[in-house]
Amino acid sequence: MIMQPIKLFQRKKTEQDIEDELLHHVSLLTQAYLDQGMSFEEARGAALKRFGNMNEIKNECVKISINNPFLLLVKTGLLMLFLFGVLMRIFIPVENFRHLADVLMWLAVLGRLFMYVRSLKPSLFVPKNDNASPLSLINKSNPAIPTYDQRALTPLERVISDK
Amino acid sequence: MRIYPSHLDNLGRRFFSMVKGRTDLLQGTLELMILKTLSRETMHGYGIAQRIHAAADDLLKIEDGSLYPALYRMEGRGWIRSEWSLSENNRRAKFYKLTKSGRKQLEAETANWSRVSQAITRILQTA
Repeated sequence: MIMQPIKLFQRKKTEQDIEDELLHHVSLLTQAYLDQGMSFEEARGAALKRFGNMNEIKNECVKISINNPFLLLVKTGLLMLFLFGVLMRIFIPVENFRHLADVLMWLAVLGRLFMYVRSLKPSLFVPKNDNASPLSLINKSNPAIPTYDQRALTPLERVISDK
Repeated sequence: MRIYPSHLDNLGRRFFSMVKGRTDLLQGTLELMILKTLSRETMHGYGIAQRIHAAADDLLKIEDGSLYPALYRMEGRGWIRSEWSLSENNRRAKFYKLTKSGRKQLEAETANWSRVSQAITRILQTA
């Protein structure tokens, strides 16, 4: 019961991340079609058609992501580490073991905290002058692949935000 | 004719449900393409889609969106790792990178694919 609000919050965060990722893709596609000379409406339609059913894809991704076994394994591992530390502290009355238990507990807490902060602010962990950018990875010799414009929002995103 | 991943999946299920142990063959085709694409460099979803379209020379019409459930599944299996980063235009984008486990999977799947495609080619030539 206590975990419900946390789970709900995590789900919303996951949904938001996935939506951001999918919208980013659609906006790049729209831009590609705009660069080919289509009108905005045509470009948006073509991009959405090529992308597929956005809501269906988003829901599927959320479902998969929430049940991500790797993350679950890491979280469970950290919880086990913490509990192990607590048990060691309670049941082994030796000073050295207590220190070890403290270290384990702190490791678990800091690990979990790091995972949480990282999921909230991923950009904090990215070097600012990272030249390995996504668009440089695309084959630039292919004229069908657009370079992304420098505006803050793409036309599609402007329409979405206007709504 | 356009071939979507769902077609491959259905075809895979129908055909390979008869062959025990190989039910995931055609279902994994999209994943194999993603693994191969990521074996060169780290990319985001759009980059992966573009690379696959370009490499397939538009012979395979894959809905771009269908990549994402596959990417999330592969991440769950530990074949790829993702992290949010900033693009050169300061846009927030999620990058995918192949893990060691993913590289092994790519080798295994590539070997499997060439074995099966050779077998099918022989059947088509002789039957």
